[in-house]
Amino acid sequence: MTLSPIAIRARSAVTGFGDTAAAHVEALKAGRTGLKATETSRGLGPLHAASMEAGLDAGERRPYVLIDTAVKALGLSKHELKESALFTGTTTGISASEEIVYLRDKAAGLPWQAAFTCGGQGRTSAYAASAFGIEGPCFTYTTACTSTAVAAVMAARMLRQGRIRRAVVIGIDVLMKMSLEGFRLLQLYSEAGCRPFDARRDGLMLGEACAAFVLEKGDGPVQLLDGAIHHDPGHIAAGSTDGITAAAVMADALKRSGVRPGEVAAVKAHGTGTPTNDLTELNALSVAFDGKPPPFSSLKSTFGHTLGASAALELVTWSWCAEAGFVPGTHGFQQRIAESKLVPLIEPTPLGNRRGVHLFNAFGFGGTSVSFAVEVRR
Amino acid sequence: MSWGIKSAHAFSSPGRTPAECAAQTNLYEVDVGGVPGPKLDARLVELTGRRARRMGRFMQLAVTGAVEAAKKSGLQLPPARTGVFLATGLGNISDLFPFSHAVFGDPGFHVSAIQFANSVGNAGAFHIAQALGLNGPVLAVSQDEVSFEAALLQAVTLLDGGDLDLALVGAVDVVMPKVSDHLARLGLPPDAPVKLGEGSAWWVLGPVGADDHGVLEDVTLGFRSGPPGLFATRDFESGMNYAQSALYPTLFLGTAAPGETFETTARTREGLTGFTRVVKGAGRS
Repeated sequence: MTLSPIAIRARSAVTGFGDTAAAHVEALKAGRTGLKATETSRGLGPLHAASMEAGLDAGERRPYVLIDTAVKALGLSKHELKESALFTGTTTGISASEEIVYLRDKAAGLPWQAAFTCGGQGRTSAYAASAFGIEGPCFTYTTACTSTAVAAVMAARMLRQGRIRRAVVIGIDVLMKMSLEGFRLLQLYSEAGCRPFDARRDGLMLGEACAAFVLEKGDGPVQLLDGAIHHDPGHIAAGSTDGITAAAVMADALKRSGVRPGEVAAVKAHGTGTPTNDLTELNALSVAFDGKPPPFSSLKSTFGHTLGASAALELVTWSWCAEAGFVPGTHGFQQRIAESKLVPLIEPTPLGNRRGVHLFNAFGFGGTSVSFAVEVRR
Repeated sequence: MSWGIKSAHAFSSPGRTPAECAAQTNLYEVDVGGVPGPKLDARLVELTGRRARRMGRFMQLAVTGAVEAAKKSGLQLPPARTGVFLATGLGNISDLFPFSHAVFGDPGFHVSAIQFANSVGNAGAFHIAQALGLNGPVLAVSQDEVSFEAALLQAVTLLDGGDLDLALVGAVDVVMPKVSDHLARLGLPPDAPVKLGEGSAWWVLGPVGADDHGVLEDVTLGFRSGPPGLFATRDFESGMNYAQSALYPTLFLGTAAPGETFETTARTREGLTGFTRVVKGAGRS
């Protein structure tokens, strides 16, 4: 069966590197990391935590400003926005602003005036739809770290079935103390440095970002082929280390996309830097690609783990790099782990003449496992 | 296109005023749809075994409702071709807020790693899939009053696309431990003249068949002008919560005669409007 083409028409990302394609491509080509100590004024402590600290002093408006910046950068007309559907992926959404207020007041010695007026995560789409005049259906996905990967796959399905005319996909997550302390409690937060796929990896680091892209039926230089959504029933906070579920979702995504494993130019790995995730993914890559996976990298040590925003952010920035002729390396990797023969790309690497199909992985808490394929024509 | 409702199950709270809620020392012990907290715990353990022991109120309602609906269907759910679609307006606030308070050092709360893991948006859906041994798509969707319609659209998209044979679709919402916080979260003043409730309503959806409990004839979601709120063919006694647009048609299916039709329109304060039309079928559930 031939898939009707779906173009990724516009893309945007707002991170500590800036809010343009050029800024992100330059940083990723240079192999820089955005992870740096968090400003103490945010009440989160002097942590090596987030990539979004510079250049944004929005207080509790931070999540709203991120969304505004990312959606404006898509360049859609008012009419185009009006007839669009909205697919948002997030873990905390705009409710992060409540915590910002709380931490600010607590630091100032003020009593906490509870203001849970942000509502549930669906308020994130409600805000974006109101702010930009979007009148199509709105969906807010809350499948933890896979949220925007699910959003992308579901948007493609709805476009192909003619349920919607255009999809605006937004990924947003802001650094929160609650997330930070939660990962620490689970002993999944690295205090030393995020090192995906490295023998000494000891956890993830958090980032914050907003990324957005537009999907439409039709041809274009960057195409979303198709994807698959599976479920790993092993444990709520960790994948099954045999990699069977993760391998199956990659294989399913490629089959649905009409792509043979040998045609994949590179894999954007989930690669959190946690002991279990990375071992699971290495085993899965080995199974899915018969022991010889294409080049793969993680961006988690570059941007931090931006949770529900990560799949959108990594799709946008990786595809910008692919258009520029390279795939990013894995910052911080030094030493292969004993249980696997695989190593990620360390340095940014030219793509050469290989067909430009890239596979994107997203796994996470709650067991949702997603892979999708994107073709970048140069 | 229509979809068969193979079975349906709901827990619904008759509703309590904010003052009545505030008088409860522990809201999670109040009756919900005639099932007191301890009885719900016992039923959950019957359905899922010892898995239930670490669940908060939200997930207790989610898992019990979903597993009851699955059992009522009498169907063997094919593990890889059955999807789980959990809709919630406010999310798993019965784990999320105690965890937040504990992290912030508020008295009376204790940090718990498992509570953090269980606070993620898809934790309830994860536990449903685990209880039923499913490994197809497991999604969680939140869209205020129209969360159920948003989840239904995910399910019918994958059913129509041939990805799934069956879909377990439901909506769950609970009241926050502190009623003033809950009203604020709903965008209501502290003295709002409302009756609050909790709810969990679940359907097993699939291709239309002769013995279906009901038929979902239409589901839409988009912006339409009109007042916010819930508008249905008839009302049911149900305290206000974001699962109501799932509860109403589920309660209808439990009481209607074959051939009767029920329409539900839910609208958010911004005008995002969900619509469903169901017809009572010949089957019982």
